Amino acid sequence: MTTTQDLDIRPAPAPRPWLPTLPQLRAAAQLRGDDAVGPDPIDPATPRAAVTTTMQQAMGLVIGAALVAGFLPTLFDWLQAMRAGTAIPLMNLAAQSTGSALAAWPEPLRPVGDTLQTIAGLDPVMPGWLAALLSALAEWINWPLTWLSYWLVFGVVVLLAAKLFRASTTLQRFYAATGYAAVPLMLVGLGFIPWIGWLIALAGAVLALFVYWQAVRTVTGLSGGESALCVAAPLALSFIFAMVVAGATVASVVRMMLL
Amino acid sequence: MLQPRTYPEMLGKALVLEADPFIAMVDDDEPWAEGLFMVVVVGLAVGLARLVGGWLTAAALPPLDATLEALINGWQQLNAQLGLGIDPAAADAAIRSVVDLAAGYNGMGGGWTSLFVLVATPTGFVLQWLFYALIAHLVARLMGGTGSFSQTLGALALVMAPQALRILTAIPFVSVSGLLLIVWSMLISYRALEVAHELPWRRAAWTAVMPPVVVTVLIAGITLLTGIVLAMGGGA
Repeated sequence: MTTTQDLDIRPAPAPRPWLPTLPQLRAAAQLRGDDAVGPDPIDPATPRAAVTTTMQQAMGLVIGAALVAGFLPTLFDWLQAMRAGTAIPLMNLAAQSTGSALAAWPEPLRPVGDTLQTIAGLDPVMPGWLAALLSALAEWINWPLTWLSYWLVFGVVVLLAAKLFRASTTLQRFYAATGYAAVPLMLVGLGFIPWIGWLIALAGAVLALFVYWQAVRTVTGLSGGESALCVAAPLALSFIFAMVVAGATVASVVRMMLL
Repeated sequence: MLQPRTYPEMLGKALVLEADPFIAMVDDDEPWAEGLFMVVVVGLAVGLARLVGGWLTAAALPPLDATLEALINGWQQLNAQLGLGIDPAAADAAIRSVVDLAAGYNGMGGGWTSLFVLVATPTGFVLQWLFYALIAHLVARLMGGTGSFSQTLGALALVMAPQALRILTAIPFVSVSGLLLIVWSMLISYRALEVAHELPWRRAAWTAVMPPVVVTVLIAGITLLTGIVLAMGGGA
Protein backbone atom coordinates (compact mmCIF):
# COMPACT_ATOMS: atom_id res chain seq x y z
CA MET A 1 0.00 0.00 0.00
CA THR A 2 1.29 3.41 -0.89
CA THR A 3 1.46 5.90 1.92
CA THR A 4 1.89 9.62 1.63
CA GLN A 5 5.44 9.15 2.86
CA ASP A 6 6.23 7.04 -0.23
CA LEU A 7 5.04 9.72 -2.57
CA ASP A 8 7.52 12.33 -3.64
CA ILE A 9 5.69 15.49 -2.73
CA ARG A 10 8.56 17.82 -3.58
CA PRO A 11 7.66 20.18 -6.39
CA ALA A 12 9.13 19.18 -9.73
CA PRO A 13 12.08 21.37 -10.67
CA ALA A 14 11.03 24.18 -12.98
CA PRO A 15 12.40 23.77 -16.50
CA ARG A 16 15.39 25.99 -17.07
CA PRO A 17 14.49 28.86 -19.39
CA TRP A 18 16.27 29.14 -22.71
CA LEU A 19 16.10 32.93 -22.87
CA PRO A 20 16.74 35.76 -20.38
CA THR A 21 13.64 37.27 -18.84
CA LEU A 22 12.16 40.50 -20.16
CA PRO A 23 13.51 42.60 -17.22
CA GLN A 24 16.98 41.15 -17.84
CA LEU A 25 16.76 42.01 -21.54
CA ARG A 26 15.46 45.49 -20.70
CA ALA A 27 18.38 46.04 -18.33
CA ALA A 28 20.78 44.90 -21.05
CA ALA A 29 19.15 47.24 -23.57
CA GLN A 30 19.58 50.11 -21.12
CA LEU A 31 23.26 49.12 -20.83
CA ARG A 32 22.84 48.20 -17.15
CA GLY A 33 25.12 45.16 -17.35
CA ASP A 34 25.15 44.47 -13.59
CA ASP A 35 21.34 44.23 -13.42
CA ALA A 36 21.11 42.10 -16.57
CA VAL A 37 23.71 39.53 -15.54
CA GLY A 38 22.86 39.50 -11.84
CA PRO A 39 25.13 38.60 -8.91
CA ASP A 40 27.63 35.74 -9.03
CA PRO A 41 25.76 32.57 -7.91
CA ILE A 42 29.01 31.08 -6.53
CA ASP A 43 29.50 34.04 -4.19
CA PRO A 44 28.27 32.98 -0.70
CA ALA A 45 26.87 36.47 -0.20
CA THR A 46 24.47 36.02 -3.12
CA PRO A 47 20.92 35.32 -1.91
CA ARG A 48 19.39 32.05 -3.17
CA ALA A 49 16.49 33.86 -4.80
CA ALA A 50 18.74 36.19 -6.79
CA VAL A 51 18.09 36.22 -10.54
CA THR A 52 21.20 35.52 -12.56
CA THR A 53 21.65 34.91 -16.26
CA THR A 54 22.74 31.35 -17.05
CA MET A 55 24.94 30.17 -19.92
CA GLN A 56 21.92 28.24 -21.21
CA GLN A 57 19.92 31.48 -21.44
CA ALA A 58 22.83 33.17 -23.18
CA MET A 59 23.11 30.32 -25.69
CA GLY A 60 19.38 30.57 -26.38
CA LEU A 61 19.76 34.32 -26.83
CA VAL A 62 22.64 33.93 -29.29
CA ILE A 63 20.71 31.33 -31.33
CA GLY A 64 17.45 33.29 -31.23
CA ALA A 65 19.08 36.61 -32.17
CA ALA A 66 20.96 34.96 -35.04
CA LEU A 67 17.79 33.38 -36.40
CA VAL A 68 16.01 36.76 -36.26
CA ALA A 69 18.98 38.53 -37.89
CA GLY A 70 19.30 35.92 -40.61
CA PHE A 71 15.63 35.79 -41.57
CA LEU A 72 15.44 38.74 -43.98
CA PRO A 73 18.77 38.16 -45.78
CA THR A 74 17.84 34.49 -46.20
CA LEU A 75 14.41 35.38 -47.53
CA PHE A 76 16.03 37.81 -49.98
CA ASP A 77 18.52 35.17 -51.18
CA TRP A 78 15.82 32.49 -51.37
CA LEU A 79 13.64 34.61 -53.65
CA GLN A 80 16.60 35.30 -55.92
CA ALA A 81 17.62 31.63 -56.00
CA MET A 82 14.00 30.61 -56.76
CA ARG A 83 14.05 32.98 -59.72
CA ALA A 84 17.39 31.56 -60.89
CA GLY A 85 16.18 27.98 -60.32
CA THR A 86 19.29 26.89 -58.47
CA ALA A 87 20.90 26.57 -55.05
CA ILE A 88 22.16 29.74 -53.30
CA PRO A 89 25.90 28.77 -53.36
CA LEU A 90 25.69 28.23 -57.14
CA MET A 91 23.84 31.52 -57.54
CA ASN A 92 26.60 33.30 -55.57
CA LEU A 93 29.23 31.52 -57.66
CA ALA A 94 27.54 32.80 -60.81
CA ALA A 95 27.45 36.34 -59.40
CA GLN A 96 31.19 36.23 -58.64
CA SER A 97 32.23 34.89 -62.04
CA THR A 98 30.12 36.77 -64.58
CA GLY A 99 30.18 40.19 -66.23
CA SER A 100 32.10 42.89 -64.41
CA ALA A 101 33.05 40.49 -61.61
CA LEU A 102 34.82 38.24 -64.12
CA ALA A 103 36.62 41.24 -65.63
CA ALA A 104 38.13 41.92 -62.22
CA TRP A 105 39.89 38.53 -62.21
CA PRO A 106 43.65 38.72 -63.02
CA GLU A 107 44.28 37.65 -66.64
CA PRO A 108 46.20 34.43 -65.85
CA LEU A 109 43.36 33.26 -63.56
CA ARG A 110 40.60 33.97 -66.12
CA PRO A 111 40.17 30.21 -66.92
CA VAL A 112 39.31 29.64 -63.25
CA GLY A 113 36.56 32.27 -63.50
CA ASP A 114 35.29 30.70 -66.74
CA THR A 115 35.18 27.27 -65.09
CA LEU A 116 33.24 28.58 -62.09
CA GLN A 117 30.82 30.29 -64.47
CA THR A 118 30.30 27.02 -66.37
CA ILE A 119 29.66 25.05 -63.17
CA ALA A 120 27.28 27.74 -61.88
CA GLY A 121 25.31 27.52 -65.13
CA LEU A 122 24.68 23.76 -64.84
CA ASP A 123 21.22 22.68 -63.67
CA PRO A 124 21.00 20.90 -60.30
CA VAL A 125 19.89 17.25 -60.27
CA MET A 126 16.80 17.98 -58.14
CA PRO A 127 14.20 20.56 -59.21
CA GLY A 128 15.63 24.09 -59.01
CA TRP A 129 12.96 25.36 -56.60
CA LEU A 130 13.73 22.53 -54.14
CA ALA A 131 17.48 23.18 -54.33
CA ALA A 132 16.75 26.87 -53.67
CA LEU A 133 14.51 26.02 -50.69
CA LEU A 134 16.97 23.60 -49.07
CA SER A 135 19.92 25.93 -49.56
CA ALA A 136 17.93 28.83 -48.09
CA LEU A 137 17.08 26.71 -45.05
CA ALA A 138 20.77 25.87 -44.70
CA GLU A 139 21.76 29.51 -45.02
CA TRP A 140 19.34 30.40 -42.23
CA ILE A 141 20.64 27.60 -39.97
CA ASN A 142 24.22 28.69 -40.67
CA TRP A 143 23.52 32.07 -39.03
CA PRO A 144 23.25 30.68 -35.45
CA LEU A 145 26.07 28.24 -36.10
CA THR A 146 28.31 31.13 -37.13
CA TRP A 147 27.25 33.28 -34.20
CA LEU A 148 27.88 30.42 -31.77
CA SER A 149 31.41 30.22 -33.23
CA TYR A 150 31.95 33.94 -32.65
CA TRP A 151 30.56 33.75 -29.12
CA LEU A 152 32.62 30.74 -28.03
CA VAL A 153 35.89 31.23 -29.92
CA PHE A 154 36.06 35.00 -29.38
CA GLY A 155 35.11 34.38 -25.75
CA VAL A 156 37.93 31.92 -25.09
CA VAL A 157 40.57 34.39 -26.26
CA VAL A 158 39.02 37.26 -24.28
CA LEU A 159 38.75 35.09 -21.17
CA LEU A 160 42.38 33.97 -21.47
CA ALA A 161 43.44 37.59 -21.81
CA ALA A 162 41.31 38.47 -18.76
CA LYS A 163 42.94 35.66 -16.77
CA LEU A 164 46.32 37.21 -17.57
CA PHE A 165 45.04 40.30 -15.76
CA ARG A 166 44.12 37.98 -12.86
CA ALA A 167 40.38 38.26 -13.44
CA SER A 168 38.24 36.01 -11.26
CA THR A 169 35.25 34.60 -13.09
CA THR A 170 33.96 31.23 -14.22
CA LEU A 171 33.48 30.05 -17.80
CA GLN A 172 29.71 29.80 -17.36
CA ARG A 173 29.30 33.27 -15.88
CA PHE A 174 31.55 34.78 -18.53
CA TYR A 175 29.58 33.24 -21.39
CA ALA A 176 26.28 34.06 -19.68
CA ALA A 177 27.19 37.76 -19.61
CA THR A 178 28.73 38.04 -23.07
CA GLY A 179 25.67 36.47 -24.74
CA TYR A 180 23.90 39.85 -24.44
CA ALA A 181 26.14 41.22 -27.20
CA ALA A 182 24.04 39.17 -29.65
CA VAL A 183 21.09 41.57 -29.24
CA PRO A 184 22.62 44.68 -30.92
CA LEU A 185 24.40 42.37 -33.37
CA MET A 186 20.96 41.63 -34.86
CA LEU A 187 21.33 44.89 -36.80
CA VAL A 188 23.96 43.13 -38.92
CA GLY A 189 21.05 41.24 -40.51
CA LEU A 190 19.98 44.49 -42.19
CA GLY A 191 23.30 44.79 -43.97
CA PHE A 192 21.80 43.59 -47.25
CA ILE A 193 19.72 46.80 -47.62
CA PRO A 194 21.15 48.86 -50.51
CA TRP A 195 23.00 52.11 -49.71
CA ILE A 196 22.46 52.30 -45.93
CA GLY A 197 22.68 48.60 -45.03
CA TRP A 198 26.41 48.65 -44.36
CA LEU A 199 26.00 51.62 -42.04
CA ILE A 200 23.32 49.86 -39.98
CA ALA A 201 25.45 46.71 -39.85
CA LEU A 202 28.49 48.70 -38.74
CA ALA A 203 26.46 50.43 -36.03
CA GLY A 204 25.23 47.02 -34.84
CA ALA A 205 28.75 45.60 -34.73
CA VAL A 206 30.12 48.61 -32.82
CA LEU A 207 27.24 48.51 -30.33
CA ALA A 208 27.73 44.76 -29.88
CA LEU A 209 31.41 45.34 -29.08
CA PHE A 210 30.42 47.99 -26.55
CA VAL A 211 27.94 45.62 -24.84
CA TYR A 212 30.58 42.89 -24.92
CA TRP A 213 33.14 45.19 -23.28
CA GLN A 214 30.62 46.14 -20.62
CA ALA A 215 29.82 42.45 -19.95
CA VAL A 216 33.53 41.64 -19.63
CA ARG A 217 33.97 44.51 -17.19
CA THR A 218 30.95 43.38 -15.15
CA VAL A 219 31.92 39.72 -14.72
CA THR A 220 35.69 40.05 -14.44
CA GLY A 221 35.86 43.12 -12.23
CA LEU A 222 38.65 44.51 -14.43
CA SER A 223 39.01 48.22 -15.17
CA GLY A 224 37.60 49.72 -18.37
CA GLY A 225 41.03 49.88 -20.01
CA GLU A 226 41.95 46.31 -19.10
CA SER A 227 38.57 45.07 -20.35
CA ALA A 228 39.10 46.94 -23.62
CA LEU A 229 42.50 45.30 -24.06
CA CYS A 230 40.94 41.88 -23.44
CA VAL A 231 38.19 42.50 -26.03
CA ALA A 232 40.79 43.77 -28.50
CA ALA A 233 42.95 40.64 -28.11
CA PRO A 234 40.99 38.35 -30.50
CA LEU A 235 40.52 41.24 -32.96
CA ALA A 236 44.28 41.84 -32.99
CA LEU A 237 44.96 38.12 -33.44
CA SER A 238 42.42 37.92 -36.32
CA PHE A 239 43.98 40.99 -37.94
CA ILE A 240 47.48 39.52 -37.79
CA PHE A 241 46.24 36.19 -39.17
CA ALA A 242 44.32 37.93 -41.99
CA MET A 243 47.42 40.01 -42.86
CA VAL A 244 49.58 36.89 -43.09
CA VAL A 245 47.02 35.08 -45.31
CA ALA A 246 46.46 38.16 -47.50
CA GLY A 247 50.21 38.68 -47.87
CA ALA A 248 50.74 35.06 -48.90
CA THR A 249 47.84 35.26 -51.40
CA VAL A 250 49.08 38.51 -52.96
CA ALA A 251 52.61 37.09 -53.22
CA SER A 252 51.27 33.96 -54.96
CA VAL A 253 49.17 35.97 -57.44
CA VAL A 254 52.05 38.36 -58.23
CA ARG A 255 54.36 35.36 -58.75
CA MET A 256 51.83 33.77 -61.15
CA MET A 257 51.44 37.03 -63.08
CA LEU A 258 55.19 37.43 -63.44
CA LEU A 259 55.62 33.90 -64.79
CA MET B 1 23.07 2.40 -16.19
CA LEU B 2 21.65 5.58 -17.68
CA GLN B 3 18.81 5.48 -20.17
CA PRO B 4 19.62 6.57 -23.75
CA ARG B 5 16.54 8.80 -23.69
CA THR B 6 18.37 10.98 -21.15
CA TYR B 7 21.28 11.51 -23.57
CA PRO B 8 19.89 14.60 -25.32
CA GLU B 9 19.36 16.35 -21.98
CA MET B 10 22.81 15.32 -20.74
CA LEU B 11 24.49 16.45 -23.96
CA GLY B 12 22.55 19.73 -23.82
CA LYS B 13 23.69 20.38 -20.24
CA ALA B 14 27.26 19.48 -21.18
CA LEU B 15 27.12 22.09 -23.93
CA VAL B 16 26.46 24.78 -21.33
CA LEU B 17 29.16 23.31 -19.07
CA GLU B 18 26.86 22.32 -16.19
CA ALA B 19 28.38 19.87 -13.72
CA ASP B 20 25.34 17.51 -13.45
CA PRO B 21 25.93 15.32 -16.53
CA PHE B 22 29.62 14.87 -15.71
CA ILE B 23 28.76 13.88 -12.15
CA ALA B 24 26.13 11.43 -13.47
CA MET B 25 28.67 9.82 -15.78
CA VAL B 26 31.40 9.63 -13.13
CA ASP B 27 29.00 8.14 -10.57
CA ASP B 28 27.64 5.54 -13.01
CA ASP B 29 28.37 1.89 -12.13
CA GLU B 30 30.22 1.41 -15.42
CA PRO B 31 31.25 4.82 -16.74
CA TRP B 32 33.37 3.49 -19.64
CA ALA B 33 30.52 1.31 -20.97
CA GLU B 34 28.08 4.20 -20.66
CA GLY B 35 30.56 6.47 -22.40
CA LEU B 36 31.21 4.01 -25.21
CA PHE B 37 27.50 3.59 -25.83
CA MET B 38 26.96 7.36 -25.86
CA VAL B 39 29.85 7.96 -28.27
CA VAL B 40 28.58 5.24 -30.63
CA VAL B 41 25.01 6.60 -30.52
CA VAL B 42 26.19 10.14 -31.33
CA GLY B 43 28.52 8.77 -34.02
CA LEU B 44 25.72 6.78 -35.66
CA ALA B 45 23.38 9.78 -35.60
CA VAL B 46 26.03 12.04 -37.14
CA GLY B 47 26.98 9.35 -39.68
CA LEU B 48 23.35 8.96 -40.72
CA ALA B 49 23.00 12.74 -41.01
CA ARG B 50 26.14 12.91 -43.17
CA LEU B 51 24.78 10.12 -45.37
CA VAL B 52 21.44 11.86 -45.90
CA GLY B 53 23.18 15.24 -46.26
CA GLY B 54 25.55 13.78 -48.84
CA TRP B 55 22.71 12.41 -50.95
CA LEU B 56 20.74 15.65 -50.75
CA THR B 57 23.81 17.79 -51.49
CA ALA B 58 24.63 15.66 -54.53
CA ALA B 59 21.04 16.15 -55.71
CA ALA B 60 21.07 19.91 -55.06
CA LEU B 61 24.22 20.35 -57.18
CA PRO B 62 24.77 19.78 -60.92
CA PRO B 63 25.57 16.17 -61.95
CA LEU B 64 29.03 15.12 -60.76
CA ASP B 65 30.16 14.02 -64.25
CA ALA B 66 29.32 17.40 -65.81
CA THR B 67 31.07 19.24 -62.96
CA LEU B 68 34.12 17.02 -63.37
CA GLU B 69 34.27 17.70 -67.12
CA ALA B 70 34.08 21.45 -66.50
CA LEU B 71 36.87 21.23 -63.92
CA ILE B 72 39.11 19.23 -66.27
CA ASN B 73 38.49 21.66 -69.16
CA GLY B 74 39.26 24.60 -66.88
CA TRP B 75 42.45 22.97 -65.66
CA GLN B 76 43.59 22.30 -69.24
CA GLN B 77 43.01 25.97 -70.15
CA LEU B 78 44.90 27.15 -67.06
CA ASN B 79 47.73 24.72 -67.79
CA ALA B 80 48.02 26.05 -71.36
CA GLN B 81 47.73 29.71 -70.34
CA LEU B 82 50.33 29.57 -67.58
CA GLY B 83 52.53 27.11 -69.47
CA LEU B 84 52.84 24.89 -66.41
CA GLY B 85 53.88 21.95 -68.59
CA ILE B 86 52.10 19.36 -66.45
CA ASP B 87 51.17 16.10 -68.23
CA PRO B 88 47.41 16.50 -69.06
CA ALA B 89 46.64 12.78 -68.63
CA ALA B 90 48.23 12.71 -65.17
CA ALA B 91 46.43 15.92 -64.18
CA ASP B 92 43.07 14.51 -65.40
CA ALA B 93 43.59 11.36 -63.36
CA ALA B 94 44.59 13.39 -60.28
CA ILE B 95 41.52 15.66 -60.57
CA ARG B 96 39.20 12.66 -60.99
CA SER B 97 40.65 10.86 -57.99
CA VAL B 98 40.51 14.00 -55.80
CA VAL B 99 36.87 14.68 -56.78
CA ASP B 100 35.93 11.01 -56.24
CA LEU B 101 37.66 10.99 -52.87
CA ALA B 102 35.98 14.23 -51.76
CA ALA B 103 32.59 13.00 -52.99
CA GLY B 104 33.07 9.66 -51.23
CA TYR B 105 34.18 11.32 -47.98
CA ASN B 106 31.12 13.57 -48.01
CA GLY B 107 28.76 10.70 -48.80
CA MET B 108 28.08 12.08 -52.29
CA GLY B 109 29.69 9.22 -54.19
CA GLY B 110 26.52 7.24 -54.68
CA GLY B 111 26.19 3.45 -54.48
CA TRP B 112 27.46 1.38 -51.59
CA THR B 113 30.52 3.60 -51.04
CA SER B 114 28.26 6.31 -49.64
CA LEU B 115 27.46 3.97 -46.73
CA PHE B 116 31.12 4.25 -45.69
CA VAL B 117 30.35 7.33 -43.56
CA LEU B 118 27.88 5.30 -41.53
CA VAL B 119 30.73 3.12 -40.28
CA ALA B 120 33.60 5.60 -40.45
CA THR B 121 31.95 8.30 -38.32
CA PRO B 122 31.26 6.27 -35.14
CA THR B 123 34.58 4.44 -35.52
CA GLY B 124 36.42 7.75 -35.81
CA PHE B 125 34.57 9.15 -32.80
CA VAL B 126 35.41 6.09 -30.66
CA LEU B 127 39.11 6.18 -31.61
CA GLN B 128 39.28 9.92 -30.97
CA TRP B 129 37.57 9.50 -27.59
CA LEU B 130 39.85 6.63 -26.49
CA PHE B 131 43.04 8.39 -27.60
CA TYR B 132 42.08 11.70 -25.99
CA ALA B 133 40.97 10.01 -22.76
CA LEU B 134 44.17 7.96 -22.50
CA ILE B 135 46.47 10.97 -22.73
CA ALA B 136 44.20 13.21 -20.64
CA HIS B 137 43.98 10.56 -17.91
CA LEU B 138 47.75 10.17 -17.71
CA VAL B 139 48.24 13.93 -17.54
CA ALA B 140 45.43 14.31 -14.98
CA ARG B 141 47.02 11.70 -12.71
CA LEU B 142 50.37 13.46 -13.03
CA MET B 143 48.61 16.69 -12.06
CA GLY B 144 47.25 15.03 -8.91
CA GLY B 145 43.87 13.89 -10.26
CA THR B 146 41.96 11.25 -8.32
CA GLY B 147 39.57 9.79 -10.92
CA SER B 148 39.85 6.29 -12.39
CA PHE B 149 40.39 5.66 -16.12
CA SER B 150 36.82 4.40 -16.37
CA GLN B 151 35.53 7.66 -14.85
CA THR B 152 37.71 9.68 -17.23
CA LEU B 153 36.24 7.77 -20.17
CA GLY B 154 32.71 8.31 -18.88
CA ALA B 155 33.08 12.04 -18.31
CA LEU B 156 34.94 12.63 -21.58
CA ALA B 157 32.20 10.89 -23.59
CA LEU B 158 30.25 14.13 -23.14
CA VAL B 159 32.90 15.88 -25.24
CA MET B 160 30.90 14.47 -28.16
CA ALA B 161 28.10 16.96 -27.39
CA PRO B 162 29.23 19.61 -29.92
CA GLN B 163 29.62 16.87 -32.56
CA ALA B 164 25.86 16.35 -32.24
CA LEU B 165 25.47 19.72 -33.98
CA ARG B 166 26.67 17.96 -37.11
CA ILE B 167 23.30 16.21 -37.25
CA LEU B 168 22.18 19.47 -38.86
CA THR B 169 24.38 18.64 -41.85
CA ALA B 170 21.58 16.34 -43.01
CA ILE B 171 20.37 19.57 -44.64
CA PRO B 172 22.58 20.29 -47.67
CA PHE B 173 24.96 23.27 -47.40
CA VAL B 174 24.75 23.46 -43.60
CA SER B 175 28.30 23.79 -42.32
CA VAL B 176 29.47 23.46 -38.74
CA SER B 177 32.76 25.27 -38.20
CA GLY B 178 35.68 23.02 -37.27
CA LEU B 179 36.99 25.75 -34.99
CA LEU B 180 33.66 25.83 -33.13
CA LEU B 181 33.78 22.05 -32.63
CA ILE B 182 37.39 22.13 -31.41
CA VAL B 183 36.94 25.04 -29.01
CA TRP B 184 33.64 23.76 -27.60
CA SER B 185 35.06 20.24 -27.18
CA MET B 186 38.06 21.68 -25.35
CA LEU B 187 35.81 23.65 -22.98
CA ILE B 188 33.74 20.54 -22.24
CA SER B 189 36.81 18.36 -21.74
CA TYR B 190 38.15 20.95 -19.31
CA ARG B 191 34.91 20.72 -17.32
CA ALA B 192 34.86 16.90 -17.55
CA LEU B 193 38.41 16.58 -16.22
CA GLU B 194 37.76 19.17 -13.52
CA VAL B 195 34.79 17.10 -12.28
CA ALA B 196 36.17 13.57 -12.82
CA HIS B 197 39.54 14.26 -11.22
CA GLU B 198 38.54 17.03 -8.82
CA LEU B 199 41.28 19.24 -10.25
CA PRO B 200 41.59 23.00 -9.67
CA TRP B 201 40.75 25.04 -12.77
CA ARG B 202 44.32 25.79 -13.82
CA ARG B 203 45.42 22.13 -13.71
CA ALA B 204 42.22 21.01 -15.44
CA ALA B 205 42.87 23.53 -18.23
CA TRP B 206 46.44 22.28 -18.77
CA THR B 207 45.21 18.69 -18.76
CA ALA B 208 42.54 19.46 -21.37
CA VAL B 209 45.09 21.17 -23.62
CA MET B 210 47.76 18.45 -23.41
CA PRO B 211 46.24 15.78 -25.76
CA PRO B 212 46.14 18.13 -28.81
CA VAL B 213 49.66 19.31 -27.93
CA VAL B 214 50.88 15.69 -27.78
CA VAL B 215 49.21 14.93 -31.14
CA THR B 216 50.79 18.00 -32.74
CA VAL B 217 54.23 17.08 -31.43
CA LEU B 218 53.76 13.46 -32.59
CA ILE B 219 52.71 14.54 -36.10
CA ALA B 220 55.59 17.01 -36.33
CA GLY B 221 58.03 14.34 -35.12
CA ILE B 222 56.76 11.71 -37.56
CA THR B 223 56.87 14.22 -40.44
CA LEU B 224 60.43 15.22 -39.54
CA LEU B 225 61.52 11.59 -39.19
CA THR B 226 59.91 10.66 -42.52
CA GLY B 227 61.63 13.60 -44.18
CA ILE B 228 65.03 12.57 -42.76
CA VAL B 229 64.53 8.92 -43.81
CA LEU B 230 63.46 9.96 -47.32
CA ALA B 231 66.38 12.37 -47.63
CA MET B 232 68.82 9.67 -46.51
CA GLY B 233 67.23 7.14 -48.88
CA GLY B 234 67.35 9.67 -51.74
CA GLY B 235 71.00 10.36 -51.01
CA ALA B 236 71.82 6.66 -51.09
